[in-house]
Amino acid sequence: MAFAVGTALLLTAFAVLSACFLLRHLGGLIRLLPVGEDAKELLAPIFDQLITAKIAPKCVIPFLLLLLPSLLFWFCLPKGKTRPFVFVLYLILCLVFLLLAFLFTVLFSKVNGVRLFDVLRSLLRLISNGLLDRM
Amino acid sequence: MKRLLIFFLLSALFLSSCAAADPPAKETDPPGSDPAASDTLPETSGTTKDTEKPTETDDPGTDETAPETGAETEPETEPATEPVKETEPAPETDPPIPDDEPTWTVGFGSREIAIPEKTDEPLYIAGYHQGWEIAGVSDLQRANAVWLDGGEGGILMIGIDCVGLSSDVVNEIRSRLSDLVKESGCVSVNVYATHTHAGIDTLGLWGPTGIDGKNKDFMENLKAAAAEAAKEAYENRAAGRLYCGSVDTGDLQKDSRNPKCFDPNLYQLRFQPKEEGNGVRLFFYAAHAESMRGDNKLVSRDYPGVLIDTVEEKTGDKGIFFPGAIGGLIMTEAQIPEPFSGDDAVKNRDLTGKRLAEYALSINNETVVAPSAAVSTVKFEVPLDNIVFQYYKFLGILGSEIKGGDPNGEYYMVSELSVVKIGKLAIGLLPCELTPELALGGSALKKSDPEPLNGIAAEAGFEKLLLVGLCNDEMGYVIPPSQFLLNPDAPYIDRIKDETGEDHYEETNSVGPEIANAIAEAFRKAIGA
Repeated sequence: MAFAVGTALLLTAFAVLSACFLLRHLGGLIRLLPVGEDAKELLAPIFDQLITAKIAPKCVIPFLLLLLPSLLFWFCLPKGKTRPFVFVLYLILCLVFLLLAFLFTVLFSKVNGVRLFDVLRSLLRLISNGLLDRM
Repeated sequence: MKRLLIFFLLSALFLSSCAAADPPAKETDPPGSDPAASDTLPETSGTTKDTEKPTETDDPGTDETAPETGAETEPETEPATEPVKETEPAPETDPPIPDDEPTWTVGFGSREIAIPEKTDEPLYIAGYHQGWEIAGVSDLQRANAVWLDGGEGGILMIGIDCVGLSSDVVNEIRSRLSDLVKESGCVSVNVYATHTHAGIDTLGLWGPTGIDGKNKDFMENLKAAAAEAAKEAYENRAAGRLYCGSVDTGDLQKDSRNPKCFDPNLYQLRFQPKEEGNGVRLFFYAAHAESMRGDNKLVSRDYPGVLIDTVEEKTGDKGIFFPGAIGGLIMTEAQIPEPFSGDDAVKNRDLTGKRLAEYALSINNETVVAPSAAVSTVKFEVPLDNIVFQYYKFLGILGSEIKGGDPNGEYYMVSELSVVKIGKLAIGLLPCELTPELALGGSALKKSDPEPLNGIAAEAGFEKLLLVGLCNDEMGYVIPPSQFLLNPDAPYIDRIKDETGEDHYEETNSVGPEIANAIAEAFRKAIGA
C-alpha cells in the first residue's frame, strides 16, 4: 500500500510540476517555435493569458482530485511480482487520460467570453497559410 | 480753410460708411429667433455630397499595421481656403424669457483628465500606429458633461476626449454615478468619445500586438473625471431656453472613401439661461477628430477642443462636442499643405477648430426648441465575425460585451442604441462609427442595404435627426453590406482593394457585414417607427 500511495503521489507531483512549468513558460516556448515573428507575437499573449486568467489551475485541480480514488485499484490487483508494474502502468494511463481531458477543458473553457479553441483555430489557419508574416 | 474742412467731413463720412459695411463682430451672440416656441426645426442648406460612381481613389494610408489610417500617406494637397460665408448679423443679446414660458433645465460640467506622473505602464497614443508612446502634451484630454432635462427626467451626456470607449468602461462610469441617478431622477446616462486621434489609448488596440495599450492609471483618471464632470453638470443646472440651428461648413470636410457622401452641416443646440450665467452649446459635427494627422505624438483634444475654447472665448458659452456619422471615412481637410507633423500639426488643428468656431458663431437660423426630452434604449446583438476582435476580447483587451461561442464558435457582440426624442427632433446615440450614407440615404445605397436612419426617423414622424457616434460602446465601422469587402486570405487582417482601386480599410475595424442591418433594426425599435 505504501508503494501505491508513494508512486501515485510521485507521479502526480511530477505531472503537476510539468504542467505548471509548461503553462508558465508556454508563452516563452511559443516564441521558440519555428514560425514567423508576427505569428509568435500573436500566439504568445494567448498562452500568457491562460496564466493571467488562472484558467489552467482551475482545470487541473478537479482532474487531480479524480486521481485519488484510483488508488483503490491497488487492492483490486492480485498480489505478486507484477502488481507494482501493472499499477504504475495504470497510473501513467490515468495521467495521460487526465492530461488530455485537461487540455480539452482548457481549449473549450471561455476566457473573457471566448474559447481558446476558436482563437487558435482562426490564428492557426492564418499561420498555416503563412499570411501573418506578411503583416 | 473751408476746403480743408469739407475734405475732413467727406473723409469722416467715407470712413463711417466703411465701418457700417463690416461684418458683425464674432463676439455677438448667435441670433435668437422668434422667442415664441416653435416646433419647426431649421432648414439646413445642403445635406449630402453624394456621388454614386467613384471619381477618384483616395488611399487612406499604406501603413498596414496601423489600426486606423486616414491621411498618413495622403498626397500633398492644397489647403482648403474657402472663407466662412457671411451671414445675417446676429443680435447681441437673446430675447428675455417670460416667466410663464416652459423651460429646459440644462447644466454643464467639465474636468481635465490628468496624465499620471508615476505609472508602470506606457502611455500609447491612439488612432494610427501601434506601439507609439506619447511625446508630450499640447492640451489635456477632458471629460465634458451636459445635463439635459425637458421635464421628463434628466439625461446625462458625458463626452470624453478619447479615441473610443468600450461598454465595460461606460458601465463602470455609470456605476460610479448610481447615487446621483437615484438622487436626481436621471433617466439615462450616456458616455461617448469625441474620437480624437491625439489622445491616450482607451480601447487598448494601440499597444504592441497582443498587448493591452490602455494605461490603468490613466483609465482610472478618466473614469473619475467623467463622474466628477457629470456631478458638476447636475449641480450647475439652470432653467432656460434651448435653440437649434445649423450651418453648412463648405469644404471643411472630406470623404476618404467612395462614394463621397457626408453631412456638411454643423448643428448646434444652444442653451440660454433664464437668469444670469453662461450658456451651453452642444455641437454636432461629422468628421474624425484627426486634424493633427498620423505623425503627431502630442496629446490633444484635436479640433473639437479648439472649437469649444474659441466659442467660449468669444461668447462665454460652455461647449461640448458630439461626433456624428464619421465612418467610411469622414475627416477635415488640411488647412495647410500636407504632409505635416510637430508644430504644423498643432497649427492645422488650430486653424481647423477656429474655422469651425467661425461657422458656429455665424449660425443665424436658430429656432426655439420646446422643452421635452425622452429616451428609449434598445439592446441588440450582432454576429461577431471579426477574428481580430475575438482575439483581443480573449486577451481581455477589448471591453465590449460578447456572448455565444457554443457549440459552433459563433459569437455575438452585445451592445445598446438609444434615441433621445425632443419634439420633432431625434438624436440617435449609436455605439459605432456609421458610414454617412447609412444615415442620409441616397443612390449610394443598394437593395441589400438597410433603410437609411433618416428615412426611419421620418417614418416615425421626426423632422430632423442628429447623430452621436461612439456612444456607450465602440463597435467600429458600420459599412453598407453592398460595399462590405474582405480580403479572402486574411479577413480582418489584410486590407483589399476592389476593382475600382478603392481600399477597403474600414472593414478590418468592423464587427462584420451584418452590423449595418442590426443598427438599422435597433434604431427602428428605439425610435418607434
